[in-house]
Amino acid sequence: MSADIHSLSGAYAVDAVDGDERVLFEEHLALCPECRVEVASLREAASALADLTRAETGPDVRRAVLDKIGTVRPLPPLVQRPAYDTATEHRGIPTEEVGTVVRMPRRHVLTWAGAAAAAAVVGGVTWQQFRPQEEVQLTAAEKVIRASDAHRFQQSVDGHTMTIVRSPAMRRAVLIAEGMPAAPKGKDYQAWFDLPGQGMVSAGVVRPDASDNVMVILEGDAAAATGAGLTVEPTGGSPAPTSDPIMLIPFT
Amino acid sequence: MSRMAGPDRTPASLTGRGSAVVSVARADSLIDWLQASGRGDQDAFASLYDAVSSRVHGLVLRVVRNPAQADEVTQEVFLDIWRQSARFDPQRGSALSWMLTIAHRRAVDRVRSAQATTERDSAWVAENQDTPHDSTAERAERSLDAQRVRNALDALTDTQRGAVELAYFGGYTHTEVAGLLDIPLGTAKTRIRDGLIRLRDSLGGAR
Repeated sequence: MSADIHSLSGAYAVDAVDGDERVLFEEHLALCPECRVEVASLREAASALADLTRAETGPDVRRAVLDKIGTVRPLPPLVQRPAYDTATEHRGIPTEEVGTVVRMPRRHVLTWAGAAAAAAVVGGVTWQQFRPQEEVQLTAAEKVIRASDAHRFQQSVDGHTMTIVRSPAMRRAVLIAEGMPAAPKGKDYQAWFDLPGQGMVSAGVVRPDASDNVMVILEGDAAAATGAGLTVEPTGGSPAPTSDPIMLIPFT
Repeated sequence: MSRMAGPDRTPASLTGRGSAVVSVARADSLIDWLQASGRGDQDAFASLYDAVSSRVHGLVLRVVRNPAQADEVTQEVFLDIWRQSARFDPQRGSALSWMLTIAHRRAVDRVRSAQATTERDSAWVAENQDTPHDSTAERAERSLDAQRVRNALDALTDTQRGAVELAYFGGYTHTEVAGLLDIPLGTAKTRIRDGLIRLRDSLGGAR
Protein backbone atom coordinates (compact mmCIF):
# COMPACT_ATOMS: atom_id res chain seq x y z
CA MET A 1 0.00 0.00 0.00
CA SER A 2 1.37 3.36 -0.91
CA ALA A 3 2.76 5.12 2.15
CA ASP A 4 1.80 8.40 0.58
CA ILE A 5 -1.91 7.78 0.33
CA HIS A 6 -1.92 6.21 3.80
CA SER A 7 -0.62 9.47 5.26
CA LEU A 8 -3.81 11.19 4.11
CA SER A 9 -5.80 9.44 6.89
CA GLY A 10 -5.61 12.39 9.29
CA ALA A 11 -6.60 14.98 6.71
CA TYR A 12 -9.40 12.72 5.53
CA ALA A 13 -10.68 12.17 9.07
CA VAL A 14 -11.21 15.92 9.51
CA ASP A 15 -12.47 16.60 5.97
CA ALA A 16 -9.26 18.44 5.07
CA VAL A 17 -9.18 16.88 1.61
CA ASP A 18 -10.52 18.12 -1.70
CA GLY A 19 -13.01 16.18 -3.78
CA ASP A 20 -10.47 14.28 -5.84
CA GLU A 21 -8.42 13.30 -2.83
CA ARG A 22 -11.57 12.11 -1.10
CA VAL A 23 -12.46 9.79 -3.97
CA LEU A 24 -8.91 8.48 -4.15
CA PHE A 25 -8.67 7.96 -0.43
CA GLU A 26 -12.05 6.25 -0.24
CA GLU A 27 -10.93 3.82 -2.88
CA HIS A 28 -7.84 3.24 -0.80
CA LEU A 29 -9.99 2.80 2.32
CA ALA A 30 -11.92 0.04 0.61
CA LEU A 31 -8.66 -1.86 0.36
CA CYS A 32 -6.94 -0.87 3.57
CA PRO A 33 -8.47 -2.09 6.84
CA GLU A 34 -5.66 -0.44 8.76
CA CYS A 35 -6.61 2.97 7.44
CA ARG A 36 -10.29 2.36 8.20
CA VAL A 37 -9.49 1.68 11.83
CA GLU A 38 -7.16 4.66 11.98
CA VAL A 39 -9.67 7.03 10.43
CA ALA A 40 -12.36 5.90 12.88
CA SER A 41 -10.05 6.46 15.84
CA LEU A 42 -8.91 9.87 14.59
CA ARG A 43 -12.51 10.95 14.04
CA GLU A 44 -13.28 10.00 17.63
CA ALA A 45 -10.37 12.14 18.77
CA ALA A 46 -11.35 15.08 16.58
CA SER A 47 -14.91 14.86 17.90
CA ALA A 48 -13.62 15.64 21.37
CA LEU A 49 -12.61 19.06 20.07
CA ALA A 50 -16.31 19.93 19.87
CA ASP A 51 -16.24 20.11 23.67
CA LEU A 52 -14.33 23.37 23.23
CA THR A 53 -16.91 25.14 21.13
CA ARG A 54 -20.31 24.30 22.58
CA ALA A 55 -23.13 26.67 21.70
CA GLU A 56 -26.87 26.30 22.25
CA THR A 57 -29.21 26.45 19.31
CA GLY A 58 -32.06 28.91 19.51
CA PRO A 59 -35.57 27.58 20.20
CA ASP A 60 -36.47 28.24 16.55
CA VAL A 61 -33.88 25.80 15.30
CA ARG A 62 -35.05 23.10 17.69
CA ARG A 63 -38.67 23.63 16.71
CA ALA A 64 -37.87 23.62 13.00
CA VAL A 65 -35.90 20.39 13.28
CA LEU A 66 -38.52 18.58 15.33
CA ASP A 67 -41.28 19.79 12.98
CA LYS A 68 -39.43 18.67 9.89
CA ILE A 69 -38.53 15.17 11.01
CA GLY A 70 -42.24 14.36 11.10
CA THR A 71 -42.26 14.68 7.33
CA VAL A 72 -39.09 12.70 6.63
CA ARG A 73 -38.85 8.93 6.65
CA PRO A 74 -35.64 7.53 8.11
CA LEU A 75 -33.68 5.44 5.64
CA PRO A 76 -33.63 1.69 6.19
CA PRO A 77 -30.45 0.21 7.62
CA LEU A 78 -27.75 -0.90 5.23
CA VAL A 79 -27.61 -4.65 4.92
CA GLN A 80 -25.04 -6.67 3.10
CA ARG A 81 -25.04 -10.01 1.43
CA PRO A 82 -22.50 -12.70 2.20
CA ALA A 83 -19.27 -12.91 0.30
CA TYR A 84 -20.15 -15.91 -1.86
CA ASP A 85 -23.04 -14.25 -3.59
CA THR A 86 -21.30 -12.24 -6.31
CA ALA A 87 -22.53 -14.19 -9.31
CA THR A 88 -26.15 -13.14 -9.04
CA GLU A 89 -25.66 -9.62 -7.80
CA HIS A 90 -28.53 -7.30 -8.38
CA ARG A 91 -30.51 -9.74 -10.38
CA GLY A 92 -34.19 -9.39 -9.66
CA ILE A 93 -33.79 -6.35 -7.46
CA PRO A 94 -36.60 -3.89 -7.98
CA THR A 95 -35.41 -0.66 -9.56
CA GLU A 96 -36.02 1.37 -6.45
CA GLU A 97 -33.59 -0.77 -4.53
CA VAL A 98 -30.74 -0.13 -6.90
CA GLY A 99 -28.95 3.10 -6.33
CA THR A 100 -28.40 2.82 -2.66
CA VAL A 101 -25.10 1.42 -1.70
CA VAL A 102 -25.72 -2.16 -0.72
CA ARG A 103 -29.39 -2.75 -0.20
CA MET A 104 -30.36 -6.27 -0.88
CA PRO A 105 -33.63 -8.12 -1.17
CA ARG A 106 -34.95 -9.50 2.09
CA ARG A 107 -34.14 -13.08 1.36
CA HIS A 108 -30.47 -12.22 1.13
CA VAL A 109 -30.37 -10.39 4.40
CA LEU A 110 -28.12 -11.99 6.94
CA THR A 111 -27.31 -10.67 10.31
CA TRP A 112 -23.90 -9.11 10.61
CA ALA A 113 -22.69 -12.03 12.65
CA GLY A 114 -23.96 -14.53 10.10
CA ALA A 115 -22.49 -12.66 7.19
CA ALA A 116 -19.19 -12.29 8.95
CA ALA A 117 -19.07 -15.99 9.71
CA ALA A 118 -19.86 -16.78 6.08
CA ALA A 119 -17.11 -14.45 4.91
CA ALA A 120 -14.64 -16.02 7.27
CA VAL A 121 -15.45 -19.53 6.11
CA VAL A 122 -15.52 -18.75 2.42
CA GLY A 123 -12.43 -16.61 2.41
CA GLY A 124 -10.54 -18.84 4.79
CA VAL A 125 -9.90 -15.73 6.80
CA THR A 126 -9.23 -15.90 10.48
CA TRP A 127 -12.07 -14.04 12.08
CA GLN A 128 -10.92 -11.85 14.87
CA GLN A 129 -13.60 -11.13 17.34
CA PHE A 130 -12.76 -7.53 18.08
CA ARG A 131 -12.15 -6.34 14.58
CA PRO A 132 -14.72 -4.02 13.14
CA GLN A 133 -16.84 -5.91 10.64
CA GLU A 134 -15.63 -3.76 7.80
CA GLU A 135 -12.30 -5.51 7.86
CA VAL A 136 -13.72 -8.83 6.78
CA GLN A 137 -16.89 -7.61 5.20
CA LEU A 138 -16.47 -6.34 1.71
CA THR A 139 -19.43 -4.88 0.01
CA ALA A 140 -20.08 -6.08 -3.50
CA ALA A 141 -18.87 -2.69 -4.72
CA GLU A 142 -15.66 -3.00 -2.72
CA LYS A 143 -15.02 -6.37 -4.29
CA VAL A 144 -15.16 -4.82 -7.73
CA ILE A 145 -12.93 -1.95 -6.66
CA ARG A 146 -10.30 -4.29 -5.28
CA ALA A 147 -10.42 -6.77 -8.18
CA SER A 148 -6.94 -7.31 -9.61
CA ASP A 149 -8.03 -6.16 -13.07
CA ALA A 150 -10.04 -3.15 -11.82
CA HIS A 151 -9.55 -0.06 -13.91
CA ARG A 152 -10.53 3.45 -12.98
CA PHE A 153 -12.15 5.99 -15.32
CA GLN A 154 -12.83 9.52 -14.19
CA GLN A 155 -14.66 12.54 -15.42
CA SER A 156 -15.36 15.88 -13.83
CA VAL A 157 -19.01 16.97 -13.77
CA ASP A 158 -19.66 20.47 -12.44
CA GLY A 159 -16.39 20.38 -10.56
CA HIS A 160 -17.17 17.01 -8.95
CA THR A 161 -15.31 13.89 -9.87
CA MET A 162 -17.31 10.93 -11.06
CA THR A 163 -15.41 7.68 -11.07
CA ILE A 164 -16.22 4.37 -12.64
CA VAL A 165 -14.23 1.37 -11.52
CA ARG A 166 -14.63 -1.55 -13.87
CA SER A 167 -13.51 -5.12 -13.53
CA PRO A 168 -13.88 -7.00 -16.82
CA ALA A 169 -13.15 -10.28 -15.00
CA MET A 170 -16.08 -9.71 -12.62
CA ARG A 171 -18.11 -8.19 -15.47
CA ARG A 172 -19.05 -5.40 -13.06
CA ALA A 173 -18.57 -1.69 -12.78
CA VAL A 174 -19.04 0.61 -9.78
CA LEU A 175 -20.05 4.23 -10.03
CA ILE A 176 -18.54 6.45 -7.34
CA ALA A 177 -19.47 10.08 -6.95
CA GLU A 178 -19.52 12.53 -4.17
CA GLY A 179 -21.07 15.91 -3.66
CA MET A 180 -23.72 14.78 -6.13
CA PRO A 181 -26.93 16.60 -5.27
CA ALA A 182 -30.21 14.69 -5.40
CA ALA A 183 -31.84 14.81 -8.82
CA PRO A 184 -34.42 17.58 -9.30
CA LYS A 185 -37.97 16.84 -8.18
CA GLY A 186 -39.66 14.35 -10.45
CA LYS A 187 -36.31 13.23 -11.88
CA ASP A 188 -33.77 10.54 -11.24
CA TYR A 189 -30.24 9.96 -12.38
CA GLN A 190 -29.97 6.95 -14.62
CA ALA A 191 -26.80 5.16 -15.64
CA TRP A 192 -26.30 3.55 -19.03
CA PHE A 193 -23.93 1.09 -20.57
CA ASP A 194 -22.95 1.54 -24.19
CA LEU A 195 -23.28 -1.98 -25.54
CA PRO A 196 -22.07 -2.78 -29.07
CA GLY A 197 -25.04 -3.43 -31.32
CA GLN A 198 -27.55 -2.34 -28.66
CA GLY A 199 -26.64 1.26 -27.95
CA MET A 200 -27.38 2.73 -24.53
CA VAL A 201 -28.84 0.12 -22.20
CA SER A 202 -30.03 1.06 -18.72
CA ALA A 203 -27.57 0.29 -15.93
CA GLY A 204 -30.03 1.35 -13.25
CA VAL A 205 -31.33 4.39 -11.47
CA VAL A 206 -28.74 6.09 -9.27
CA ARG A 207 -29.77 7.94 -6.13
CA PRO A 208 -27.20 9.78 -4.03
CA ASP A 209 -27.45 9.08 -0.32
CA ALA A 210 -28.28 11.75 2.24
CA SER A 211 -24.67 12.94 2.19
CA ASP A 212 -24.79 13.29 -1.59
CA ASN A 213 -22.53 10.31 -2.11
CA VAL A 214 -22.89 7.47 -4.54
CA MET A 215 -21.17 4.13 -4.58
CA VAL A 216 -23.24 1.70 -6.55
CA ILE A 217 -22.79 -1.32 -8.76
CA LEU A 218 -24.11 -0.64 -12.23
CA GLU A 219 -26.58 -3.22 -13.50
CA GLY A 220 -25.63 -5.18 -16.57
CA ASP A 221 -22.59 -6.57 -18.28
CA ALA A 222 -19.77 -4.11 -17.70
CA ALA A 223 -17.32 -6.33 -19.54
CA ALA A 224 -19.22 -6.10 -22.81
CA ALA A 225 -19.83 -2.36 -22.47
CA THR A 226 -17.58 0.04 -24.33
CA GLY A 227 -18.53 2.97 -22.15
CA ALA A 228 -20.96 4.31 -19.56
CA GLY A 229 -23.11 7.40 -19.33
CA LEU A 230 -25.36 9.19 -16.87
CA THR A 231 -28.49 11.14 -17.71
CA VAL A 232 -31.30 12.83 -15.82
CA GLU A 233 -34.58 11.01 -16.46
CA PRO A 234 -38.12 11.12 -15.15
CA THR A 235 -38.44 9.42 -11.74
CA GLY A 236 -37.92 5.69 -11.99
CA GLY A 237 -35.85 5.94 -15.15
CA SER A 238 -36.55 5.52 -18.85
CA PRO A 239 -36.13 2.59 -21.25
CA ALA A 240 -33.76 4.73 -23.33
CA PRO A 241 -32.00 8.04 -22.58
CA THR A 242 -34.27 11.04 -23.10
CA SER A 243 -31.71 13.75 -22.36
CA ASP A 244 -28.12 14.59 -23.07
CA PRO A 245 -25.66 12.77 -20.83
CA ILE A 246 -24.18 14.73 -17.94
CA MET A 247 -21.35 12.20 -17.97
CA LEU A 248 -20.06 9.98 -20.73
CA ILE A 249 -17.02 7.81 -20.11
CA PRO A 250 -15.52 5.52 -22.75
CA PHE A 251 -13.83 2.39 -21.38
CA THR A 252 -10.66 2.80 -23.42
CA MET B 1 -18.14 11.16 36.67
CA SER B 2 -17.58 7.56 35.80
CA ARG B 3 -15.37 6.90 32.81
CA MET B 4 -15.04 3.17 33.20
CA ALA B 5 -15.05 0.81 30.27
CA GLY B 6 -18.51 0.49 28.84
CA PRO B 7 -20.61 -2.53 28.00
CA ASP B 8 -19.17 -4.39 25.02
CA ARG B 9 -21.25 -2.89 22.31
CA THR B 10 -18.20 -1.53 20.62
CA PRO B 11 -14.72 -2.90 20.03
CA ALA B 12 -12.41 -1.89 22.82
CA SER B 13 -10.17 0.01 20.45
CA LEU B 14 -13.01 2.35 19.57
CA THR B 15 -14.99 2.49 22.79
CA GLY B 16 -11.92 3.64 24.56
CA ARG B 17 -11.98 6.86 22.58
CA GLY B 18 -15.74 7.13 22.56
CA SER B 19 -16.16 6.91 26.28
CA ALA B 20 -13.50 9.55 26.65
CA VAL B 21 -15.82 11.94 24.90
CA VAL B 22 -18.98 11.49 26.94
CA SER B 23 -19.61 9.59 30.10
CA VAL B 24 -20.58 5.99 29.50
CA ALA B 25 -24.18 6.24 30.67
CA ARG B 26 -24.64 9.12 28.32
CA ALA B 27 -23.00 7.33 25.39
CA ASP B 28 -25.37 4.41 25.86
CA SER B 29 -28.43 6.63 25.81
CA LEU B 30 -27.18 8.23 22.64
CA ILE B 31 -27.02 4.84 20.95
CA ASP B 32 -30.51 3.92 22.21
CA TRP B 33 -32.01 7.22 21.10
CA LEU B 34 -30.34 6.99 17.73
CA GLN B 35 -31.57 3.46 17.14
CA ALA B 36 -35.09 4.40 18.25
CA SER B 37 -34.96 7.36 15.87
CA GLY B 38 -34.16 4.94 13.08
CA ARG B 39 -37.50 3.30 13.84
CA GLY B 40 -39.25 6.67 13.60
CA ASP B 41 -39.42 7.55 17.31
CA GLN B 42 -39.60 11.35 17.35
CA ASP B 43 -39.47 11.65 21.14
CA ALA B 44 -36.22 9.73 21.21
CA PHE B 45 -34.89 12.08 18.57
CA ALA B 46 -35.88 15.09 20.66
CA SER B 47 -33.89 13.65 23.57
CA LEU B 48 -30.98 13.07 21.25
CA TYR B 49 -31.23 16.64 20.01
CA ASP B 50 -31.17 18.03 23.53
CA ALA B 51 -28.17 15.90 24.44
CA VAL B 52 -25.94 16.75 21.50
CA SER B 53 -27.20 19.96 19.91
CA SER B 54 -24.82 22.24 21.78
CA ARG B 55 -21.84 20.25 20.52
CA VAL B 56 -23.19 19.98 16.99
CA HIS B 57 -24.18 23.61 16.77
CA GLY B 58 -21.03 24.86 18.48
CA LEU B 59 -18.89 23.01 15.98
CA VAL B 60 -20.97 24.16 13.02
CA LEU B 61 -20.90 27.75 14.23
CA ARG B 62 -17.17 27.64 14.76
CA VAL B 63 -16.56 26.42 11.22
CA VAL B 64 -19.28 28.39 9.43
CA ARG B 65 -19.09 31.49 11.67
CA ASN B 66 -22.11 33.25 10.23
CA PRO B 67 -24.84 32.60 12.87
CA ALA B 68 -27.74 32.55 10.39
CA GLN B 69 -25.93 30.11 8.10
CA ALA B 70 -24.86 28.04 11.07
CA ASP B 71 -28.52 27.71 12.10
CA GLU B 72 -29.33 26.39 8.63
CA VAL B 73 -26.46 23.96 8.60
CA THR B 74 -27.36 22.69 12.08
CA GLN B 75 -30.89 22.00 10.86
CA GLU B 76 -29.54 20.13 7.84
CA VAL B 77 -27.26 18.13 10.08
CA PHE B 78 -30.08 17.03 12.36
CA LEU B 79 -32.31 16.10 9.45
CA ASP B 80 -29.42 14.09 8.09
CA ILE B 81 -28.92 12.39 11.45
CA TRP B 82 -32.64 11.56 11.57
CA ARG B 83 -32.63 10.22 8.04
CA GLN B 84 -29.51 8.12 8.52
CA SER B 85 -30.11 7.08 12.12
CA ALA B 86 -30.81 3.44 11.25
CA ARG B 87 -27.48 3.33 9.47
CA PHE B 88 -25.44 4.22 12.51
CA ASP B 89 -23.39 1.19 13.42
CA PRO B 90 -22.14 1.10 17.01
CA GLN B 91 -19.42 -1.32 15.89
CA ARG B 92 -17.76 1.40 13.91
CA GLY B 93 -17.45 4.09 16.52
CA SER B 94 -19.33 6.17 19.04
CA ALA B 95 -22.68 7.77 18.33
CA LEU B 96 -21.36 11.21 19.21
CA SER B 97 -18.45 10.93 16.85
CA TRP B 98 -20.76 9.71 14.09
CA MET B 99 -23.03 12.72 14.52
CA LEU B 100 -20.17 15.18 14.78
CA THR B 101 -18.59 13.71 11.66
CA ILE B 102 -21.81 14.46 9.79
CA ALA B 103 -21.90 17.96 11.29
CA HIS B 104 -18.29 18.70 10.43
CA ARG B 105 -18.67 17.50 6.87
CA ARG B 106 -21.78 19.62 6.32
CA ALA B 107 -20.16 22.69 7.85
CA VAL B 108 -17.04 22.28 5.75
CA ASP B 109 -19.10 21.78 2.60
CA ARG B 110 -20.96 24.98 3.40
CA VAL B 111 -17.87 27.13 3.84
CA ARG B 112 -16.20 25.67 0.78
CA SER B 113 -19.16 26.33 -1.46
CA ALA B 114 -19.60 29.80 0.06
CA GLN B 115 -15.98 30.59 -0.54
CA ALA B 116 -16.49 30.30 -4.26
CA THR B 117 -18.62 33.43 -4.21
CA THR B 118 -17.56 35.45 -1.20
CA GLU B 119 -14.35 35.88 0.65
CA ARG B 120 -14.49 34.45 4.07
CA ASP B 121 -14.29 36.61 7.11
CA SER B 122 -10.68 36.61 8.17
CA ALA B 123 -11.54 36.84 11.83
CA TRP B 124 -10.36 33.59 13.29
CA VAL B 125 -11.66 33.53 16.80
CA ALA B 126 -15.18 32.26 17.22
CA GLU B 127 -17.64 34.59 18.83
CA ASN B 128 -18.53 34.07 22.40
CA GLN B 129 -21.89 32.41 22.55
CA ASP B 130 -24.34 32.89 25.35
CA THR B 131 -25.49 29.67 26.85
CA PRO B 132 -28.60 30.85 28.64
CA HIS B 133 -30.15 27.41 29.09
CA ASP B 134 -27.28 26.04 31.10
CA SER B 135 -27.73 25.07 34.65
CA THR B 136 -24.75 25.53 36.91
CA ALA B 137 -24.18 21.79 36.97
CA GLU B 138 -24.20 21.58 33.19
CA ARG B 139 -21.81 24.47 32.93
CA ALA B 140 -19.48 22.82 35.39
CA GLU B 141 -19.57 19.55 33.48
CA ARG B 142 -18.96 21.38 30.26
CA SER B 143 -16.01 23.22 31.59
CA LEU B 144 -14.60 19.94 32.90
CA ASP B 145 -15.02 18.34 29.46
CA ALA B 146 -13.41 21.33 27.82
CA GLN B 147 -10.57 21.32 30.31
CA ARG B 148 -9.89 17.67 29.63
CA VAL B 149 -9.69 18.36 25.90
CA ARG B 150 -7.46 21.38 26.46
CA ASN B 151 -5.15 19.24 28.55
CA ALA B 152 -5.07 16.64 25.80
CA LEU B 153 -4.28 19.33 23.24
CA ASP B 154 -1.29 20.32 25.34
CA ALA B 155 0.32 17.04 24.30
CA LEU B 156 0.53 18.33 20.73
CA THR B 157 3.42 20.43 19.53
CA ASP B 158 2.48 24.01 18.66
CA THR B 159 2.87 23.27 14.97
CA GLN B 160 0.69 20.16 15.18
CA ARG B 161 -1.97 22.03 17.14
CA GLY B 162 -1.96 24.87 14.64
CA ALA B 163 -2.42 22.52 11.71
CA VAL B 164 -5.18 20.49 13.42
CA GLU B 165 -7.09 23.63 14.41
CA LEU B 166 -6.91 25.15 10.94
CA ALA B 167 -8.16 21.90 9.46
CA TYR B 168 -10.86 21.10 12.00
CA PHE B 169 -12.16 24.50 13.07
CA GLY B 170 -11.02 26.45 10.03
CA GLY B 171 -12.41 23.93 7.56
CA TYR B 172 -9.32 24.24 5.37
CA THR B 173 -7.90 21.43 3.26
CA HIS B 174 -4.40 20.25 4.09
CA THR B 175 -3.23 21.98 0.91
CA GLU B 176 -4.71 25.25 2.14
CA VAL B 177 -3.26 24.67 5.59
CA ALA B 178 0.18 24.27 4.00
CA GLY B 179 -0.34 27.56 2.18
CA LEU B 180 -1.56 29.36 5.29
CA LEU B 181 1.37 28.12 7.35
CA ASP B 182 3.82 28.46 4.48
CA ILE B 183 5.07 24.90 4.86
CA PRO B 184 5.56 22.19 2.23
CA LEU B 185 2.45 20.28 1.17
CA GLY B 186 3.32 16.92 2.64
CA THR B 187 4.22 18.56 5.91
CA ALA B 188 0.72 19.87 6.61
CA LYS B 189 -0.77 16.45 5.91
CA THR B 190 1.71 14.85 8.29
CA ARG B 191 1.18 17.45 11.00
CA ILE B 192 -2.57 16.96 10.92
CA ARG B 193 -2.21 13.21 11.17
CA ASP B 194 0.49 13.23 13.83
CA GLY B 195 -1.45 15.84 15.79
CA LEU B 196 -4.66 13.81 15.72
CA ILE B 197 -2.81 10.64 16.71
CA ARG B 198 -1.30 12.44 19.65
CA LEU B 199 -4.67 13.91 20.60
CA ARG B 200 -6.23 10.46 20.41
CA ASP B 201 -3.58 8.88 22.56
CA SER B 202 -3.62 11.69 25.03
CA LEU B 203 -7.44 11.60 25.39
CA GLY B 204 -7.29 7.84 25.83
CA GLY B 205 -4.73 8.19 28.58
CA ALA B 206 -6.72 10.89 30.35
CA ARG B 207 -9.60 8.62 31.26
